[in-house]
Amino acid sequence: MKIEINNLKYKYEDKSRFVVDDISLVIDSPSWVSILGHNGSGKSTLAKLIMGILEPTSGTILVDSIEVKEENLYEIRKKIGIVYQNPDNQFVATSVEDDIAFGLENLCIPHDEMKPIIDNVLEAVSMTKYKDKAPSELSGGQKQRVAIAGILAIDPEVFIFDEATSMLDPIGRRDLIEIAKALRDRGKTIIMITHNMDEAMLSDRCIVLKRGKIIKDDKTINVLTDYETLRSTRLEMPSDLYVYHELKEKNYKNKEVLDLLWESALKK
Amino acid sequence: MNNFVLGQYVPGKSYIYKLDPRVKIISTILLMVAVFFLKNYYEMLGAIGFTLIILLTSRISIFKALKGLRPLLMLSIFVFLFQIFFNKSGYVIHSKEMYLSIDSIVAIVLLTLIYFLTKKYIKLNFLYFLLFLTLIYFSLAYLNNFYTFLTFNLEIYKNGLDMSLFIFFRLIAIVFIATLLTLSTKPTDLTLGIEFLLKPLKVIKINPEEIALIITIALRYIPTIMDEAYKIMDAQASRGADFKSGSIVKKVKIIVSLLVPMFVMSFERSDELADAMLSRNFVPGKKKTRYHVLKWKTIDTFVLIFSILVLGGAICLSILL
Amino acid sequence: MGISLEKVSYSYNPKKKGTIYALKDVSLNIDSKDDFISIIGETGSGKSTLCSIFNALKVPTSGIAIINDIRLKKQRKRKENYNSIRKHVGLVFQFSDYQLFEETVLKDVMFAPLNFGKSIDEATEIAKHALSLVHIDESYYEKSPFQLSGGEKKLVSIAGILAMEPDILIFDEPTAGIDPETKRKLIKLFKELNEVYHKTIIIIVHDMNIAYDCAKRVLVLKDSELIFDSTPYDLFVNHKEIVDIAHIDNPDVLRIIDNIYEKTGIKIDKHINNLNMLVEVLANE
Repeated sequence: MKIEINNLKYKYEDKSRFVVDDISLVIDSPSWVSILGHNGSGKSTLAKLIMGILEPTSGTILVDSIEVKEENLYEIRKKIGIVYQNPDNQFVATSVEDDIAFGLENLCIPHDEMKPIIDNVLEAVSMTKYKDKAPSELSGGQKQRVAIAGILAIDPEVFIFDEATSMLDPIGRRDLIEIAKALRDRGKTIIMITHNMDEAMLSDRCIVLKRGKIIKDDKTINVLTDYETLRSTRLEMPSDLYVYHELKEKNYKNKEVLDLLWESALKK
Repeated sequence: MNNFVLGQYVPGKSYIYKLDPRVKIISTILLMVAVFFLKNYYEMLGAIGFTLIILLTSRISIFKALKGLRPLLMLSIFVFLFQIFFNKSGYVIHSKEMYLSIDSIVAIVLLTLIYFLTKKYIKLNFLYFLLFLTLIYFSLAYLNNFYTFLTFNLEIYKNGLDMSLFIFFRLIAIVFIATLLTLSTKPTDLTLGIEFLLKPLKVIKINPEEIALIITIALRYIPTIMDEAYKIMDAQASRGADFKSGSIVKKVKIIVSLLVPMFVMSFERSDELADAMLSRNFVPGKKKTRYHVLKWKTIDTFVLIFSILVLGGAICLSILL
Repeated sequence: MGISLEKVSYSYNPKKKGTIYALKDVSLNIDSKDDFISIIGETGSGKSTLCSIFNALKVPTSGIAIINDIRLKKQRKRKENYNSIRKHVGLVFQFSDYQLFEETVLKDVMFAPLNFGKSIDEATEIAKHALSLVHIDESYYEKSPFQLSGGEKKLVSIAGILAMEPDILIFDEPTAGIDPETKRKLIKLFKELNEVYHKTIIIIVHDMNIAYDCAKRVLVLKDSELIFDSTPYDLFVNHKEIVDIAHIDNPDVLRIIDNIYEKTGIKIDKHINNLNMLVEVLANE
């Protein structure tokens, strides 16, 4: 399966500037892709276009050879799931199990099959204990885990995380990253929209957006060591790479230290 | 504040919890209608006794049920007083000359002031209110030393007293029945029951599933929005906004400072929620399966028949007597 | 002046048995000048409650809290106005959406001075000054706060607090959900307010890089208790056990220094606050 985007353009009705400006790219499965960019670079809009929540001004998106448009959305949304930024604004029901059931109900999964699926996905995100808890009794990280469980229940190929960790504390963030890694190990494709460089380091490939255009699309290490691109998009380098880069700039000679920094950056 | 739970649901395990919410809602309505067929307060006392028996056998705490009465207390007292003073039929059972004089007016004003200033600190506020009324009664009846404006006769008639007691008991009976439902039914089950019972509305193109969804989302977000409101109040208070005092103009401004952020955040929230729901394949009006399915059991049939019999009995009683 | 807490506790239901404390027996003193404090702890460890007490939004259920020479007390009758405390200790909430409500940026910043009885002219002057402190220029004065980007909103909401001219400024998770560029701006702003304007800054942070870079003193909270109160160096270098039990990350600088020492034996003094200083030290070796 792959996601194929051709000459995609999008602008809001009342604005003249294209938020997504002629983007073409292919994302193969399975893979882990980061989409980086400053606020307003169009990265979240891109996600909404892929999900069919916004309609492109021009251009096409194909998911598994099915075009993203009104009549196919039902199929598309079985293939791609998305976790949004705000944990509170995507929890639909009054309890954890009911929230996971929401997606299953929409897909007309027979009643008898729902229970085992819900138990299964709660297990997968370690939330079994909280099955009948109300959202107000959960932390942000736990709510995001429920959101992931809700998507797992539908079992799509692709998981999009739209700045899903940015409102979480370090523990919530770590848990979510661990779950994402487990998803990758199960052969799922992960598209992570983020401006956290430590998260970007986990991906195979990084796509950098600036004012709606792709300005860099390469292997992660090549992107994260490209100081000029990162600076022009006002992003940060991961710490180890930053020290590495600055030392090189200053003609630092100790190769042992440089290698060490390089390696530890890759290991993370 | 995080533990704010909507509704009065108290978890429990007795038979009343196992009933189908549809039966509970229908029975509640039937019993309430039955109450309206009862004609005197002996029957009404019987009805209250009947609900008390249900309450006791279902092991719901009476204390919790009494709490449900609280909001209606003032209303029932008002109705009670209204009937006593204005229903003038039957024979007089109590008659007393009352005076509106300078000293009785002063006494009433003073009592009212003291009452409203102190009632916050009195725990048994209902009894306190009765004490307040009694004191007013006495000041009207016995203070008549300076310049009397008006003399009138307070007469309490048999029917007036009967009627007021009757209405008072009727309100108690109805509230008890309603509390029984809300105490023993989860909000989600209640929503399911309502959804089912609203099915006839499909004829006029109203989708009960959508109404149920609206109720669910409301239940889900009320605690969140309450929590947010407190935080916004704190944020404005820390900028010197005083929610308690100040001139009207200042107050309006301060209320605006609470409302604008709440609206802005709620619009944002509804946008994001709509996106999230669409992403999870929600299509308004489309047929879907249900996770919670209501199951009709034998006990439900019994309870329903029983409620119908009670209503029938009440109707028969009202025709025969 | 300043903040002084002695055995301060806070619980939501103080009268019941088995009370759950949001804050327990916290004693500390904070100067109203020149200090830079970072409050560290997991979610639910009591950080936010502590800051609410600093701002008199919550009153301790036991213990003595004296802020700006006023003792916080539970009022029975009428809520006493704690505005003089709030003028002395400004609190910037995590979400700027909680506070922005006026039609224009300038008016929004004027809200606090007007509440404190300043005239419109005075308030305008104060607001303009506050906006200049956060580097928001004149072109923004007449814009609606709702048109701004997330980062700009944050700066305006900070100006809204600076307009009270507080001596102590508290920031509740200022960098959460904020883009890297605004984050850099904020760090610069904190240092500026501290070094140039001699304000005491208190930040609640999860990002240890910021805590180690900026703070002169760290308070670590764990399960509603204050378990550590000293310098960041003392915490991360001498008290690793606290770092472990409070589930705190190590700052990247220290992680890199440790790593270099382990693999190459090059020893670097840990009195280094950030990556730039580390680069300097290494390059000058």
